[in-house]
Amino acid sequence: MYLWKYWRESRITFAVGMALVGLMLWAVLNIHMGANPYNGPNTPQLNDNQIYLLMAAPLTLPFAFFALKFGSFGVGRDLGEGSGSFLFSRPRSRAFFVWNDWGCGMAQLLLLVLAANAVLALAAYRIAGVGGPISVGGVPVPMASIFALHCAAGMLLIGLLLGLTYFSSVLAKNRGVLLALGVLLAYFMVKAVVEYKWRTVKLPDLSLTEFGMTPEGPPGFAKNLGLEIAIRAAVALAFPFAAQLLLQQRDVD
Amino acid sequence: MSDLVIETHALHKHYGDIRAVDGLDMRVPRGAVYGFLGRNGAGKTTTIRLLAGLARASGGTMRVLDLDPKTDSPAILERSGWVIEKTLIPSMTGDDLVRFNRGFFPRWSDALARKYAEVFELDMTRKFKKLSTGNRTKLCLLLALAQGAELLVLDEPTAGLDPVVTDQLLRVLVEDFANEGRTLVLSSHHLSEVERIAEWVGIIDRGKLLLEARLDDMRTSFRRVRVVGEALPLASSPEIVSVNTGEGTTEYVVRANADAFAAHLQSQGATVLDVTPLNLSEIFLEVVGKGKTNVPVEVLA
Repeated sequence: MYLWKYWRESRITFAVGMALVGLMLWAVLNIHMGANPYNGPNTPQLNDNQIYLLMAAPLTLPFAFFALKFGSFGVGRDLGEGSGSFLFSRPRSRAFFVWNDWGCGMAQLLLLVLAANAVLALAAYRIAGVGGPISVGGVPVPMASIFALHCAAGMLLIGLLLGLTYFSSVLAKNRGVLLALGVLLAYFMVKAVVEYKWRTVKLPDLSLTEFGMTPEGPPGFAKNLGLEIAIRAAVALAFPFAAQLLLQQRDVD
Repeated sequence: MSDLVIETHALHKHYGDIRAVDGLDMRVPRGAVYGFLGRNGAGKTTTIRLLAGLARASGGTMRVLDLDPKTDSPAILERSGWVIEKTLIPSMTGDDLVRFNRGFFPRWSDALARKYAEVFELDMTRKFKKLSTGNRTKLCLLLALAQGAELLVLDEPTAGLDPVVTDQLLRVLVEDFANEGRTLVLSSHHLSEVERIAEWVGIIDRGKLLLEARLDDMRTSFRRVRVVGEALPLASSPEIVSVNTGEGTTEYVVRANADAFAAHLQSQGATVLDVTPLNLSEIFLEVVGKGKTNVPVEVLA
């Protein structure tokens, strides 16, 4: 029954997300794929690198928006609206509320990520005309691998942002989204300054996209991909755990 | 199974230097209607929040339904209903809230929910945020009553209710709830309402329980003794709650043994004008309202 509450709060956002994916699908199926004037006649409309970018780049911002939005639902919202006492006098542990919120949010976002990436993969397939490998950094990579990588990247990104916003909403209630945005902005600034001052230092990127596009190409990401995913997943999971601990330690207003 | 549904010992809750609850010893017997009385800021709501597991105690122990709220909060909440802050989920209608609540409580009754919706004349299709203050309170009470709880704790349940609904509510609480042997704790500073239904009363002030007793015992024990005389005692006995002198007479309020006290004064040459009983409101004002902060807790029964 509690999942129903989260679903009630988030379903409009989810519907908007799915509508956008539907719009993307409509565009992919209906917009004419003419010849690319820059590539000349009898050449593919997009080169492999462009296809790779098409499958990765357009989704980062929408994913970030939806993850921030979904993170603001649930317990943080209830605390902000003053219904925390009512909610936490239902006979469930604080952990129950946190992980149900998080699970329901992630499930909806997973559907959005899969659907959006599937549409982009379809677009890439239509443009490339094949489902076979494309060359990334001179190495042929199966389209399915790119799709899987981008789904994983999308999930880790939204997992991180959902968790961060969820935690900050529990911490700061109605100002949770602003706090999360502030933290993100601060991280980007610190990363830019550090990487400018110390050229050899590279702070982790929020998504896997950049890692996949390193000059070393696919062999590079294949080598550390598991570790990269594990670290990002751990960071993403740390936020709902922190929210749970915070709720368990704190008095409910 | 203990005879006490709620029991606290030396319970403390501090917010920095503020002692919201300061060594509270409270005992609510099973099956009682218990009026928890105190002025605004006395510590009633904080105590209830501690008992519900919504706040963490700074010290002391507490048991609710033989369980510890610190560790067994979900088990306590499953068997008890709490109306503390009267803010539910704003975007839900009454029907939505019933649907939401139903899944949490094994003894939930849709029939009771429908019944109280009729009794309280609630529009269950309106969103909570669009309801008036009184209707919000009524909806909170409906949800608590339909849980089938064995313990119901209501913090200022009649705040914002008109006299007709207040009357309906008090009747529902007594006839449908308390008469079935379940325990009702009612925090309030509306003394007449508490006096109407409570069997036990606890009076809290500045985080301390000043008095806890059966209401009938309080009524029969507390007396105002008016006397005229010279060199009368001021507050030499622990039974004396307050002493007021003026216009040739001295008024004592004593918590017990009024007749013996009057006889003692007479033996000292004083003239006893009258010995009169006090109602709950007068007892409350004597215990709390006249600055006596160190009246020892005494269970009269």
